[in-house]
Amino acid sequence: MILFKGTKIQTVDEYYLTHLDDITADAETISLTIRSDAALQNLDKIQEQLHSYIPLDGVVLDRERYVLREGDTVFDLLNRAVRHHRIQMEFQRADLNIYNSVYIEGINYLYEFSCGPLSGWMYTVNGEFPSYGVSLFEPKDGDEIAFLYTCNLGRDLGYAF
Amino acid sequence: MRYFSFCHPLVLLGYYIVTISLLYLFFNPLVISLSCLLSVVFYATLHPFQITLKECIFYVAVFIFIFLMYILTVHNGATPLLFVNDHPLTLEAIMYALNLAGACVAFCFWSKSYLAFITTNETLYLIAKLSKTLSIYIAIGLQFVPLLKRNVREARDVQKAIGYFRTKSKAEKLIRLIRLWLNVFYKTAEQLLDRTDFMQWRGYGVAKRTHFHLFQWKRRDYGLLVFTMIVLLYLMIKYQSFHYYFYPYLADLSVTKSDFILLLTWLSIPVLFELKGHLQWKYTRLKM
Repeated sequence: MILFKGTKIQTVDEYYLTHLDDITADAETISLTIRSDAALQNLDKIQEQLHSYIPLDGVVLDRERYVLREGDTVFDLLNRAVRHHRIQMEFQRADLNIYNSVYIEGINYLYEFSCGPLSGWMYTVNGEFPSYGVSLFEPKDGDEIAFLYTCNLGRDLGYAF
Repeated sequence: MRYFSFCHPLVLLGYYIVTISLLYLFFNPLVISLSCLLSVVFYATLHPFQITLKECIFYVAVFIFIFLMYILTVHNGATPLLFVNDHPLTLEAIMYALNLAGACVAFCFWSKSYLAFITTNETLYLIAKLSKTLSIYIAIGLQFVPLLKRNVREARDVQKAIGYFRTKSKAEKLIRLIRLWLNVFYKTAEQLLDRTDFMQWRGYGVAKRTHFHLFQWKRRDYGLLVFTMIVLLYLMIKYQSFHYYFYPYLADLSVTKSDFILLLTWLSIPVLFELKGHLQWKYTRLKM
């Protein structure tokens, strides 16, 4: 009983039944896209069984506008978008790591280290790489958010330390 | 009697290494389930029923623990069954967890069985060619835990009989038990280190000195060695069909009937040895 107390159990359909707010004239919105172009260019480094999950045009989720709710973080928006589009995502909760932020482990079966030891997911806001975790960054109206897969610690995406 | 232990130590070591490698090299559900089952059967042929049952109960708990830990922390896989706290519980993760737990249990049972019949002499024989000092330390290191357990049991029984633990305070009882454990630990370590010194004083490890050993290559050793080589070669050739993956979706189990028979025969060898030995002994006694 103690184990199950506070545990939310949902069926697959219940989980994916996510309501997206309608975009009205006065609604604040952001746009979100998920791309895995780097994986496409490094297919030889990726296990064969994952190839079918890498889109040929590199677009996992096409650019789309989402309503920004009060207090939304980048993670909240991403979570709503992938659930609505039934895209697989695995993440580590903020209380389970030292960064106090949710960590995106994998999207669409493409995980950290799937394309070598320097690979994983990064995100940009208006083309910049924020130095915050996904659940610490609160976007503003009109922001352009992109989740990008890297095979070389962001260098292949133009990110420099 | 442990009949499989009559084989040459090098052959036994080769068998153990190949069997363990098979588990983790392919991570194939068929290999793991067969290996897990036969490792328990082999262990049962070497030990009395009560001990086997006790071990089985313990390892069932280990199996469940590994299984639960895995499925609660890994959520990869293309077939979600349900969502727990927004994390999917997938068929692939469940299958992987079953295999992982099975492989760990099989590894423990094979290792326990191997350590049960590998004697100090055999350990020395196997490693002495590389380094005499290392072989002494490894042989003695392997004895440490069983010897410690025996010494603790003896010391506890003796101290209990003379009333060492007779106190009402639970904390005091615990302190006394820890003190006893520490004493026995030092005594056992000293005992084993002394033994190392004795061996060196007796000339073990001195250069240009031969050492007597009982191990001779017999026909069955050559047979087992050749079979080990054949199995290894066969598996290497068929690596692709044996190699299995779980993510993002379960691969097809492309194992043919002949593969299954070969694996079953290979993993049953120790059990067959034990059965043959027991039957031989039974009928030899009847003739007397």
